[in-house]
Amino acid sequence: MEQVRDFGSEGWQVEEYVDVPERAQELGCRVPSGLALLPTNFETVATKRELAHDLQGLTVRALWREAGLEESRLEEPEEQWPTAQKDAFEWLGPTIFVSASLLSEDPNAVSVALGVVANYVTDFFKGVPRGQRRASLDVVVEDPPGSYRRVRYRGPPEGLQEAAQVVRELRQ
Amino acid sequence: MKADLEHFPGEFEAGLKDCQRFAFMACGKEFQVGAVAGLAQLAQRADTLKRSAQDREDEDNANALLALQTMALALRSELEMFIALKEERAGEAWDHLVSAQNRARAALRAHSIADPFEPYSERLHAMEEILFPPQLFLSPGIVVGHSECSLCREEYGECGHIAGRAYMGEFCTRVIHEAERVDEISVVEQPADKRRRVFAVANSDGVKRDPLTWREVETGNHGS
Repeated sequence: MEQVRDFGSEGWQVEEYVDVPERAQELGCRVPSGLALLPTNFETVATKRELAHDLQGLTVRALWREAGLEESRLEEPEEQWPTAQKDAFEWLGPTIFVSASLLSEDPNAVSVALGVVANYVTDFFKGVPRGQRRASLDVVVEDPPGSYRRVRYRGPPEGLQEAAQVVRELRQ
Repeated sequence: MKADLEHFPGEFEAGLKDCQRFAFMACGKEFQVGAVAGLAQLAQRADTLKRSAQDREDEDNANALLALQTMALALRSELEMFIALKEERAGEAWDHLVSAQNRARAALRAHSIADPFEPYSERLHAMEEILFPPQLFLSPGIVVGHSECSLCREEYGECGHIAGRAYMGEFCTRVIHEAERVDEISVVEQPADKRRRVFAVANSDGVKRDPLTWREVETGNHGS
């Protein structure tokens, strides 16, 4: 695992990720393109029936809709997957997928998608002492086409403001 | 009513100051009891004005009044904590503090009118460490099949509302209707809900004690 941004013992780290379209097909899901939310257990489940979104993924979905962003869904229209809810003071973000085509054709959409999440999390922790604020987020990036890496963040919520920059640097 | 609305922030600030002066452990309980009643009235007044703003579909003022109402209730909870501590009701005091913390955070998210109270909210978190010993909490990991938005009753995530935000003077919350299963229950130091605390711990001699008061608790008794 490679550390790309350091916030003491926390920060952004990069690791290899499964082939997203291949895994989606294997599970019988729609293949995501552009911007998507990956289920929390996407890598590990044996069947589609076990898939669950993160609780905060639903909030991110609503934030993207509010920002006018188009989300590509793995679930069929009218299909409703359960959500996994972990009870933690920390803001446990979902896994966001960004395709190679979106990164090259509309990098601004990627900045907006990650920016609205970062702003939401800043607002979420208003009134909490800084030392107690913690957030985590995973972003799976396709780049180059057909190659998938996951950047994982854990640390102070302000660090999420760098998400778009970290994704951009990953491409270079 | 609109004239009332213009004067209310000043009225609120004065009323809050009158009550806030008793938010210290050393202050007489009788004054704290009086301040609790005063804050309930202040919150009620904010609620009345909020309903008027809602009727006019004045969202900004409705959210501002919700923020003030919720902040008054936060301070009320803080005073109730002091009263409960003085009456040796440690468990209830803890619950009041957690309510105060949650309400102050909610108020801050409702409207920027509450921004000056951010240090107050942080003080409530500091108070937790000063007045109470460290606690352990039970934290469930659950899988939810169906949950809806409290405002429009649509599936949460499919409507335009976001939990914790204020819309026309009301908070959006996510209402869980169907929990499919509990995946795990962990013991944690920082849960989302601090009311799920461990009520009794046993030390090496097998005696069960209340982690707040360290007094012995009997089986079946939920501690302080």
